[in-house]
Amino acid sequence: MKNNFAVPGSLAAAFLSSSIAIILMGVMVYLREEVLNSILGIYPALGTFGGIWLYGYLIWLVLWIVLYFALRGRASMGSLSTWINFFVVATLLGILITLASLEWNTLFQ
Amino acid sequence: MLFAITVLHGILGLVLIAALGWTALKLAGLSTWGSTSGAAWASLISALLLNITGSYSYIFYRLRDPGTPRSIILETEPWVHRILFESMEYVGLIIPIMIAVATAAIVIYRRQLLETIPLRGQISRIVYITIFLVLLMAIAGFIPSSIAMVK
Repeated sequence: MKNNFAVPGSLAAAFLSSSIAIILMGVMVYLREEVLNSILGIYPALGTFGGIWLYGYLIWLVLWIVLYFALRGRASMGSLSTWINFFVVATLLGILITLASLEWNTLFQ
Repeated sequence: MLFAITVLHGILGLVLIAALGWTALKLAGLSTWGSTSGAAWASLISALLLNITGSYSYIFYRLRDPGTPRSIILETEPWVHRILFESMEYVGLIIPIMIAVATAAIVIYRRQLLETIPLRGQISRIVYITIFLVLLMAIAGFIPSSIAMVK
């Protein structure tokens, strides 16, 4: 198919690590007040934001490096449009999980 | 110093919007200036700097003292902090990740990008969604700053 561009393993590593990191960041934001409060509070001046920032980006970069070396030899790992759709869905999911944790009731106060 | 960093944060936001716009124009074939990968790298670097300056300002924003922006906003318009600011704070974290993915795609396909319009169109989807999110985050950050600014 003319518009079916093959995604090499090196780019698949970027899509996969980023998608996982975005969803995990959303989960960390959702659980920041109760479950992960002590783990995320690494720097008191930043509150739980510091932990989400550090662990989120650390997970992303480590995953990217590991997946890059694991997948770089593969010439084709599916089509670009499939990977973009996968990434967009993961991004929307991460955003929805994040937004679900906000105090929406303050809108009516 | 702190006020300068807050102003720099605002300027970097504008630079990021401009760089993303430049990337979108390059992918649409509407700009001949510079390279697509140059535009993508400019977007990524400005997003990372925006992230760092924002995180630094945030330390002073969230101090528990009664006169800090967070305290003033929570007392006057709690939804501005609880919804707008926190959306910017957390959703803003994924912007550099989205730009990094678009940059990786642009760099990896750089030779094909010049002659393959459908390829540019597919990568543009990530850039357009990122621009939309950045504009929303800019509004979500501007409103709290207009009530009480870090300085």
